[in-house]
Amino acid sequence: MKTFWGLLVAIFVMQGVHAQSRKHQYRKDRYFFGINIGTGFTQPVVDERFSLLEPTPQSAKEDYDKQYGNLFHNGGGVYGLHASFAFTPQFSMITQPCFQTQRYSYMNSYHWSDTIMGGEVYKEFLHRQKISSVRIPVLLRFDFSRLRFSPFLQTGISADIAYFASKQVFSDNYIDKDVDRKTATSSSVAEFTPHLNRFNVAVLGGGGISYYREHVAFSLSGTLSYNLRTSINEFNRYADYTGMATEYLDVQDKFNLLSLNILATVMVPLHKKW
Amino acid sequence: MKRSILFLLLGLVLGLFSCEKPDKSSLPFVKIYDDQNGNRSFSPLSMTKATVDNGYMVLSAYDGWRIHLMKMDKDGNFEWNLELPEQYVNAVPSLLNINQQLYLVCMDPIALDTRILRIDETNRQVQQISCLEEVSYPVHAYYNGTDLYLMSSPLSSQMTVIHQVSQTLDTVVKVGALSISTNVDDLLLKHVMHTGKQYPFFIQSTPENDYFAVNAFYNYSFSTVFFDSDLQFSGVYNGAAMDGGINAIFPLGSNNFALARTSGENVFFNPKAALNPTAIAMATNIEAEGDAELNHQTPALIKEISISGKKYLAFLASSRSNQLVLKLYDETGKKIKSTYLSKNVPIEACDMAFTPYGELLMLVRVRIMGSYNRIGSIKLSKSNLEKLVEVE
Repeated sequence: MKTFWGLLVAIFVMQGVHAQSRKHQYRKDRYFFGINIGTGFTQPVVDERFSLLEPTPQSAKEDYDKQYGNLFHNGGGVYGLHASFAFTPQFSMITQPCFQTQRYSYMNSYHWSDTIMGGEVYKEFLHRQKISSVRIPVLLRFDFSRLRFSPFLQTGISADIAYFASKQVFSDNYIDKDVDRKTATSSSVAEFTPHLNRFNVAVLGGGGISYYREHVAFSLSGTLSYNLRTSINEFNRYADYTGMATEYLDVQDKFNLLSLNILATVMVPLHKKW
Repeated sequence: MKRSILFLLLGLVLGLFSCEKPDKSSLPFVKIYDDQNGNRSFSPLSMTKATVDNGYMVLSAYDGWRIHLMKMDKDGNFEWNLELPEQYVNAVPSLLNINQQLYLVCMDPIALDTRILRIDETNRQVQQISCLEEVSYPVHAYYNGTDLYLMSSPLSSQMTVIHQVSQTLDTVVKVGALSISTNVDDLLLKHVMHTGKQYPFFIQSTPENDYFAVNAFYNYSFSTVFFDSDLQFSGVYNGAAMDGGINAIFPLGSNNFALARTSGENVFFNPKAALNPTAIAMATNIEAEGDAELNHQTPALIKEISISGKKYLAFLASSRSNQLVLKLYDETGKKIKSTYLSKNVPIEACDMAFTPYGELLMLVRVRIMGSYNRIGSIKLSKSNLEKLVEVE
């Protein structure tokens, strides 16, 4: 049954592409310039865990590993410019310099038995970080069709320059894997930038679909990126620039950021012929 | 065109992966050692390098005068700990390395006499090796490389006594005494139980081994008394009653000392003060530079360290605004750098060590979550220290 439906969808798609063959769109040797805007999701890929609080046999837990939210818990934004050049009708080179905001969050919790303070003491923390950076990607795009509607795949690398990062901590007194930011006690927002490796390189890959008209083109793309350098500077991991290290028992893990950016792009061809 | 783009990409990738990969052991760290028991309060006392590896042994007091030993590796990772049985209490703040064996000096809570324990790092236990019945209420121990000296202040005696212990660590061979002339039992009990002011007791010999500087109760005050090598009184820098006076000293030779002193509610540093061991003077009159931000009720530490082949004096103290303040002075006594460590949480410097790898390891007491006093360690890497003195 599944095979049948799969076949049916494939036939429809092929028929659609074939039906457009009369709407051939000439793209070779054209420049496209435009703007893009979109949303991004971020997930730290942890390589090594660090903890300020060192577990001992007298600890409530054997480790104090952070619990990271999944990719779609960490939304951010992207906006920037688009420039591309089509070497052939189906092969083009693209750059999309943009400002992007990446967020990632994690939780940790602690427990002490304290008869003086009234029994058991529970602390649960939600740590939210925001990194603002300029991303300058260079991508190679392969369009599957020469038609107005053209699905594509693209891959490349980007240079990421983080220019500002901040951090805020929310806490409550219940360990239930949930800290409600509206009711929790919050810290001030502290600058986190000096903890970062300011320059990073990411590998990118993704796909999308474009729609070409004579004087304008649109595309919708999804691109996964993976930072090749770790995000936190190892030399000042414990430097406590935020002032939150000993107060909230916080130190960043060693991780690389994985991001999914979904971009809508509007572009115009500026140069018809080389 | 295409070739140049390829070269550009190749260069970028090679540049990225050729970035220096730091050796983990060379990186700085901050560690706080956990204990779920919220009623338990730790007071770190002393830290010294382990004899079996490159780690460090930490001696602490908990629940008043109970004794806690902890071993960490050179990266600050917890390895093991040991709570000594109740028959041993009141460890003096000195872990002693005598002939490549670690020892601690403590007290029997019933007999009130002094016990010397050997720390068996391999089997993670302690062994009592001697009982010194004539030494009651020990408050400090000092090993000068050849002899062990103990300071005691027996209750009701109104005396401070310095004991030189035999090479076999089982008998007292020489004694020097000071009359306090007033009852300090209450202050002493609060000190040993860690419930009140912690007095900076110390015994420190000069590099020439001709004098001992002894910080102790003496003559209605907490003073710095100089003894000669026969433990005979030589001179004194009197403290201001029980509150002001010298609270840390580092002998530089030729009667020069780096010192920290308090007066009123202020802390003063002098990286090179000339003290006369035969003088009778006031400690509060020793010329020194005051620092109003430092907390006079917390310890100050002085250590000689070496950075890029040059010697520096490191002064470590706590500020009134919950930070550690590290000041570096060069050999001439010129201040090179003052920097802050940690933030927002009450923190006290308890001990520091200069590691064989050129790093500065600090033992601290940190109050976490506003409630729990815990043992902490902070390491500044060699490159951290080099950067500090770069900005001259």
